Amino acid sequence: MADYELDPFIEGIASELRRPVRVDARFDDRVMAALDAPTVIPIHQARPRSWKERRWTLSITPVGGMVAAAALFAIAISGAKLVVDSREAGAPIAVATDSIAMRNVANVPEAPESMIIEKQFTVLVPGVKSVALVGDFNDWDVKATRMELLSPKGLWSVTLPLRVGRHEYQFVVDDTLHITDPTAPESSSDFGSANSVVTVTRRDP
Amino acid sequence: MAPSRGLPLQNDDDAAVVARVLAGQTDAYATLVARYRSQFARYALRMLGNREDAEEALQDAFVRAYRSLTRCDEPEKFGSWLFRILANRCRTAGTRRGRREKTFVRDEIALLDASEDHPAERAAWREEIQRALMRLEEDHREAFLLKHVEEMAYEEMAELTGVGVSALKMRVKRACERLRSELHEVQGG
Amino acid sequence: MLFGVAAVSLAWWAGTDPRLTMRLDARTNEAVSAIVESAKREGVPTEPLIKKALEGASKRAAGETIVAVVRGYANDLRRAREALGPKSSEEEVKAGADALRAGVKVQELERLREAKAGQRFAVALDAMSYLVNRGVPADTASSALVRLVLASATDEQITALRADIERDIAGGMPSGLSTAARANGLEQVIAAADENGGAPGTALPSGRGSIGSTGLGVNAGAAVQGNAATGGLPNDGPKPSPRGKPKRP
Repeated sequence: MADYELDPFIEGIASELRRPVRVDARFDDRVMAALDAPTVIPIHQARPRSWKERRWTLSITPVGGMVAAAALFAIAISGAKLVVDSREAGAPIAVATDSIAMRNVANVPEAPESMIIEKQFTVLVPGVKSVALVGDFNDWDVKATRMELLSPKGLWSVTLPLRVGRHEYQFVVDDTLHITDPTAPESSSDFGSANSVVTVTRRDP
Repeated sequence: MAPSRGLPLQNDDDAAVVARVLAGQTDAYATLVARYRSQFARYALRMLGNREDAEEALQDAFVRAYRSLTRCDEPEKFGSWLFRILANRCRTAGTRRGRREKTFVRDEIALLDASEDHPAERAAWREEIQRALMRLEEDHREAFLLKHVEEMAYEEMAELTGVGVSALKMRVKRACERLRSELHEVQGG
Repeated sequence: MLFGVAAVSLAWWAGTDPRLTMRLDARTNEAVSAIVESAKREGVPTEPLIKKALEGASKRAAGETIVAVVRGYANDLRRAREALGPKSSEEEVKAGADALRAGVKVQELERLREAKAGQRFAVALDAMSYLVNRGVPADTASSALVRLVLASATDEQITALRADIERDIAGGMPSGLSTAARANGLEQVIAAADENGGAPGTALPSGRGSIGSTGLGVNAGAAVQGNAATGGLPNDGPKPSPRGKPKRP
């Protein structure tokens, strides 16, 4: 006995409904945050912070050795509760495995001061609820760098510290639509949508 | 990643991940979240009709699953177990629904798919489908989605819902009849 | 006890970067992490690979696409490292890989090895990528910048060059033309400074002014050809026109 009659009309409807659905990039983080995990996990900011508050520049290179790394872990683990509690205040910690380093959002460990320049990004997008900046300097994380609405005409802006050199980025509108910066040069993207490019240079001495 | 036919609800690797989580490596749970969220998001969305409710139900399900992970008797079937939790969440969420009319389909349009012909028409058709789906009775919608969208066998569906196979067949039949009558007019040429 | 805990945690973390675990599905994560691991073993920078995967995740690319792109990028990083030599920094290797991806030939990268000891070239490589993105043919961009690096141009000079070219383009000048003219102009300046016994860069005006005395300005299309300091510009017949129109995907 067949389970059901194959009806092409129903099958057509079903195949439309089977189309994959995209999930908010923040979803996984929200779930993990809701678990109330006690260990040190990558924690991203929920709200935008001024760049000064986000600077964590402690870093330990592999050369520093296991002892230093172990000491750091001891600090990290013993301080984990403190970190998790202050999560609400938006203190971010990103832990990488290639070098044991605490990085700030602009990913500038060990960089001398002159190698980090504050750069302002602006874009005009009227009639939207949010705009975020994503790029290689913030791991393309839509939660990391929310932009601020400066005028009712739809001028969005954010300023953040960037390492000297070439960076690729995009703006993300309402967490769904990726757009490039109309004022910036573009590079072709491997993923089908072009990136904007900014080259950050040292200030004139 | 785009889900293939049916849900891969059995995965040996899941057992290993569950074991790690239970041993204290909470981070490992992220692997399970990443593995199942897209597939289950689709079900939640079709069932509840809007993004916010769907994501809420999905997040809720993941958190509940985590909290009761010790009660997952067959960790290699974590997927099934989680889906059962999700289906329950969706049934509960359904009772609170009604306020939000806007469906998720509009958001999908913004997410490219320029490869399609006549994207605007397809989008409108999809909205109609979702609207018709939402007009079904909850039990019928659930049965239809499990059978035709998640492509489960009736025995699996019975295990998941606790409802008998013949009752499920009846629900699917009613759902198909209703959808056919509502959508045939809309589809036109 | 302290060290015991630390050892366990480190061992566990050696496997995969948590950012990848959080944002990629399991299958993609596994494949990407394997590529990252083997890159690390070969001394190839891994952070650009991780960022590339996260870029793909942010753009909701399919898992297979992400893996393919990361694999391709790892190969480009390897090629750049081979071309630039073992003393090249991570920054230079990444800049070199980006230049290769933009279309610069690996032989051009190899020429950079002839640069004087202590000469760094990440800025020059970034400038190559920039120019190619702006429509300059890859050969023109790379040969101009390689010449400048070999002439010991400083980072500041190359930065100023790029800014001048950007301004020329904004004013409507074809990018290839501006590149050739400006690069030639800078070479003259460096050569003149060398002759006069000064270090390159000491006599250079700031980025706001024009390089040398060619005074390239907005309407200088014809003027450039007339004033070009040495005999003629390379005849590369730049095809692309400046991209003034904003593009949205």
